[in-house]
Amino acid sequence: MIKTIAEGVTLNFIQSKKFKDICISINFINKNEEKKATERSLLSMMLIDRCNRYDTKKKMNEVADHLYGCSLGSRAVTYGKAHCIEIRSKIINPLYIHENHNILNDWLNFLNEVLFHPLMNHEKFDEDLFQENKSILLSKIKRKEDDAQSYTVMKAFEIAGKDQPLSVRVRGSKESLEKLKKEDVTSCYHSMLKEDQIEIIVCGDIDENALFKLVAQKLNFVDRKVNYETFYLLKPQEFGFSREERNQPQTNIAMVYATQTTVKDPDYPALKVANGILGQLPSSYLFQVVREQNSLCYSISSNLISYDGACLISTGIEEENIDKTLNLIQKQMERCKQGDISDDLLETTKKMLIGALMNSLDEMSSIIGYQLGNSILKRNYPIEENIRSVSAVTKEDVVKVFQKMTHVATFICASKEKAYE
Amino acid sequence: MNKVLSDKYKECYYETTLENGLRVVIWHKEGYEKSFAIMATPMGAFDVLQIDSKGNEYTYHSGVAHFLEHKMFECAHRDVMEDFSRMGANVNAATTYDMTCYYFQTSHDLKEPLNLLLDFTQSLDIDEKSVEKEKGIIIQELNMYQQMSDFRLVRESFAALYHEHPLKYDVGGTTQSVNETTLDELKRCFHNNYHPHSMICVVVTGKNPDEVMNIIENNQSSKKFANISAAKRKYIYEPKEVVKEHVVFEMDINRPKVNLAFKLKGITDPKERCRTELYLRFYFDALFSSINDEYQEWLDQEIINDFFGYEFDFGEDYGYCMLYSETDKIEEFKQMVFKQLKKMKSTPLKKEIFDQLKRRYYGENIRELNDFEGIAVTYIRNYFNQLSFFEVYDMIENTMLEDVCKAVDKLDLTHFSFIECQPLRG
Repeated sequence: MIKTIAEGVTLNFIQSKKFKDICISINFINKNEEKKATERSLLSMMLIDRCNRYDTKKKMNEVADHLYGCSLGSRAVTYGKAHCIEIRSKIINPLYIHENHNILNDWLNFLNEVLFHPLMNHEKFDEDLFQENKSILLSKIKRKEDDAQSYTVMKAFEIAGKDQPLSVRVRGSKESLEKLKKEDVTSCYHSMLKEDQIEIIVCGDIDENALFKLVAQKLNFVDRKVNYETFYLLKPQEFGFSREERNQPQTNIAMVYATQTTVKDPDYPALKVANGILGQLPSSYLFQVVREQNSLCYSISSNLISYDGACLISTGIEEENIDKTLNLIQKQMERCKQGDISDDLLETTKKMLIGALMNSLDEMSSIIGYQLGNSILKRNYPIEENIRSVSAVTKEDVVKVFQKMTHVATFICASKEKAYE
Repeated sequence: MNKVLSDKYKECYYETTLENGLRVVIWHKEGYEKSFAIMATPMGAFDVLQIDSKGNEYTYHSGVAHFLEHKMFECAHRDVMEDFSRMGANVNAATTYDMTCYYFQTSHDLKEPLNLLLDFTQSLDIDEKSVEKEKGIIIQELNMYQQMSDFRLVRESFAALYHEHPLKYDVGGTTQSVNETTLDELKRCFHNNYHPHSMICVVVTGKNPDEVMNIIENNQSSKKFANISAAKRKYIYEPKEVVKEHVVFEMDINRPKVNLAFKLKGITDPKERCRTELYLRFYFDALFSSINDEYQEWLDQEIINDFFGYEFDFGEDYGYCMLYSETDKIEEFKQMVFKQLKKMKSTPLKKEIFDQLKRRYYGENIRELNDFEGIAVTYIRNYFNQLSFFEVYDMIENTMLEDVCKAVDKLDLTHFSFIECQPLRG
């Protein structure tokens, strides 16, 4: 069931008896720009930390535990040109409680407090709340840079996505965070409530009408005009390369390709299969050749950054094997472009991808993620239809999407030291 | 097949032990398309020294269980991973200190991959060349973990706590131990630990349990296994003192990470062990999470940040608890932890906090029953400890406040190490 509860605010409900709990995912969608990403990322943390009515973490815990440890989390995600704050909460199904307690009502009341009555003084966010979360966000950003693998990917995205959304870090940047004032986050909050596209997704075993009434009443959002862009195509610009060194035992490599195939393109199912053939699976060329035949790495993979029209290849190796590895990776890409793909590999890849789609019908987070994708792309694309499109992909389709792929960036974070003995 | 039905948790499973000794569990999840199947042996990274019932001792290089896990995927020069992919099943494996397991998940047909799982975990077909080839891959895996500062912090902590206990080694061993591992050693290790007597197979599935059981029974009855004298872990004497009280090492990071790690006594009785872990969970959550009002002060004063956490674990011959954070205020962090631990010993847990946590844990337990892999692994862990699944689940409800308070009295917190991971100087 999909219902509009206010203009620009949609409730998607997926009835399922499979799960022990009920999940709500509330997604706030706006533009993906660096300053905005920083503000929104901080805001997403502040909202779930404390609120006006439950103004300490201890009180927040008490409410959640009274609801049998209901979970409350938030995260920032990007969908190409769009930035999304997701507030997600799960509660056990009332079937499993043995007391007379309307936990669903209390749950929605709790979410109402969190979203509509944040901890503010004189109409600005509380100073302590702001400072604490600012410092934690800064730690998170720095920790991400400490992690050599993430750092390498981030740098490759910066090169490949210069002046494009791919280069924007989802949590924002240290520089814009340092300049941020609580007034900025306060106005960001108001804009989120009034201007963002809102997609609410609920999944679980619960009466549809009762749920609709409850959500409409407790999450009473105002009408808004929304038209945010999401997917785009990364420009196949001039190839960029950079290398840095670090004191660490492993050399990390990240390579970015512009796919020139959007997530809504009729070629997109073929791109998914192409990615499966190249590097997503154990049967893929990258895993088979670079790891199994040449023992150069432990992990190697390719991943689609679908909403940005990009494909990322990443691996970790010995410093002395950089040239050999880059060469082998390029050779695999080349053989795919030349059509060196056996029928067996094509069928295996399709079967794995179809299996993953079928599997997602059995996992709550996948069901919610799939529905959100449909809402964001403004389409009705049931999993069954998706499965049919993957089944129909031919070798020619795959070769065609491979031929559209252009290598736009490589970043290497090289090891300065010998492995630990 | 013994049927276990829980009205309370609305779950149902079947368990039996086959003639060849293999323990089989079919956990029925009605309405689901997918299936998750796992084969496990209690051989893990702890097993560097084993003894069989005849008194023969076997010494292995550290990381041998993990090395063997990698090599199991070769079967008569076929690549097992590719075969699973062809069947549309996702296969993987994991080695921990106390077990090695092999598992797959599929929403396609179950029969073919289930047979393959049973087959490839019950035979080993490798040669010198393939063993040598694997070494490069495993060393890259070790390097990948070595570059992660949180992983290194825990590693260095175990090395500071333990003189002899295999916890001092990484699950994967070291570059040297991997390089020195031989074909014969891997074969011996397989022979001693992968007999159906030692292993367990758990399938969590939406498919008909009788049909699944038939697949397993047919597969097993067609195979012959030699009688072997099963090998068990041999316990090594470990002094109660730590190796080093203070360790400082450097990495390419922005901010120091620290860990205060306590060396505790092992607990022989599995039930007692399980209870103690639960009781400590109550106390640690009450003292070291935002349930405690002081937690906000530690954050505001930047004594801790979001990296702060704690964990504890007990085995027959070891026990530890550790509290770690990212912080520049290292002395204040230490003082804070010691102050809270002193409080834990001197002040009983408040009734309202105890009740609050009980509700939380109940909800968490219910939610965990959505997770196929979680169900299977929990069942296996309990089985290796001779505990039944719902017995452990009910422990929370049956816990009394007095028991929780008594448990911490017994804790001896005199032996500890303090580990600092500092940013590179210069």
